[in-house]
Amino acid sequence: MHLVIIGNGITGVTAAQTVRRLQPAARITLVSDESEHHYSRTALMYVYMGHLRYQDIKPYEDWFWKENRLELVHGTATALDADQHQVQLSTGQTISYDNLLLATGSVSRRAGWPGQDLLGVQGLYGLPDLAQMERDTQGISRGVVVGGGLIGVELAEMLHTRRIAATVLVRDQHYWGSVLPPEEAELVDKQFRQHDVDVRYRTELREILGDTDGRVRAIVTSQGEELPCQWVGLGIGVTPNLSLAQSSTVETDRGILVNELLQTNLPDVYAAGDCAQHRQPGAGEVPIEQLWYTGRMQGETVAHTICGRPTPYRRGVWFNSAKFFNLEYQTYGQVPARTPTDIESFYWQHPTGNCALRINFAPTPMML
Amino acid sequence: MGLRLRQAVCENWIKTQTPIHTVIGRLKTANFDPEFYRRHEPAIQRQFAEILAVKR
Ligand SMILES: Cc1cc2nc3c(=O)[nH]c(=O)nc-3n(C[C@H](O)[C@H](O)[C@H](O)COP(=O)(O)OP(=O)(O)OC[C@H]3O[C@@H](n4cnc5c(N)ncnc54)[C@H](O)[C@@H]3O)c2cc1C
Repeated sequence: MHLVIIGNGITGVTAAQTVRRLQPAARITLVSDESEHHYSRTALMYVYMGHLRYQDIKPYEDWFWKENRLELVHGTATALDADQHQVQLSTGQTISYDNLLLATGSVSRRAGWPGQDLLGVQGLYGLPDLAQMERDTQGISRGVVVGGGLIGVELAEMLHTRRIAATVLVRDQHYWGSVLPPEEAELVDKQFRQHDVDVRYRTELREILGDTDGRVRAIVTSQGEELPCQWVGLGIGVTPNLSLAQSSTVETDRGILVNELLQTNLPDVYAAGDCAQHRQPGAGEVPIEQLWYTGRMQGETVAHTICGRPTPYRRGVWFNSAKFFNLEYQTYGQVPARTPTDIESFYWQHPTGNCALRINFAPTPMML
Repeated sequence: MGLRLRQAVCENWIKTQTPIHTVIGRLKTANFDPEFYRRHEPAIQRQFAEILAVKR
């Protein structure tokens, strides 16, 4: 069996390792265009901040791949021919597969703002973005970050460590308004204040203004205010990377559509991780999961099915974690921004405002 | 926020629909920092008891 995996992120790499374990004789090829070897995307910010070097965020030594007979191809898969069971690469090579896993991840979202293609405007998803940020924030005095979510706060923290003044535009009236209840958002706001980040709530980006060299010089907010800056970070979320999928007859919506076995509509073609959209998500679950640990779980699950042990993907109890400057955050189960009327919410906060605990429960009988 | 809880313990509480009293009473089994709970558990339990008293 020859398994070809497109994408060497956590999803593709977990699938490769699991297949190696379940089927020692399988031939496994990992194709990826971003980096020769797998690295931890979640640790990108620490490289910019100088806490880690690039080689520190590679979880495996470079000999690991050869030792485990995982063939690496550094290139872009440009076309998929499902009838021929073949993938075309940018290197001119064509690879044949028995099974194909699409683990192509996401791309940063862009909202179509005027000026978004100016020099100094970017998202943060991968290594090219990191290099661009490194280059374009050298010696600047002010950056503007658009987006009140997880990437927004990371970008603000990154600028802060380089002593670059940061303004964050947040559409909602509090930070991460779609996810955090107001009390927790207030604790994050305190972190922003303690780190001198200027946060503008209920404020959106209207336009980015450039100078005669095509470089950003200011932005205009939805209130019509012009803020001078030399760099703009877009942190408004990510969307599945469909560039390869769109070269084929694989069915897509926002993501690559899969059933609970992570199978696409094409024979022997699977999709998992950030790029996959579940046709029938479980109750209270989202169709597209853009998380590190769900990528790992999906990669492991799909490997079983590929090895002839059909295994439906079941996420189990929702979990997420993040860090806002010095404040760690963890959540288990459903704790929405607005507590439903039939749910009680117990909230305790330490007097210093440096930690808090919320437990939601059913009132009668009183249980989780 | 600012706390680290054990995933296995929290998941089990949710899956088995554990009574809230039990959870509040056993918070320290979920926490990585026993010192934190030694200092703050009384305050958390007091606040929970006050809320219950108001509801009755
Ligand atoms: C800055 C940042 C911080 C994050 N922090 C957290 C966090 O704290 N916790 C958390 O749970 N999640 C976090 N995430 C999200 C998490 O990193 C992703 O959910 C996860 O990495 C997705 O893994 P994946 O393997 O599905 O995709 P990816 O990691 O995106 O890997 C896909 C790879 O495939 C390559 N590729 C795509 N198309 C092709 C093609 N046609 N040919 C060849 N190669 C191709 C891409 O270049 C990419 O390298 C963060 C994301 C970012 C960007």
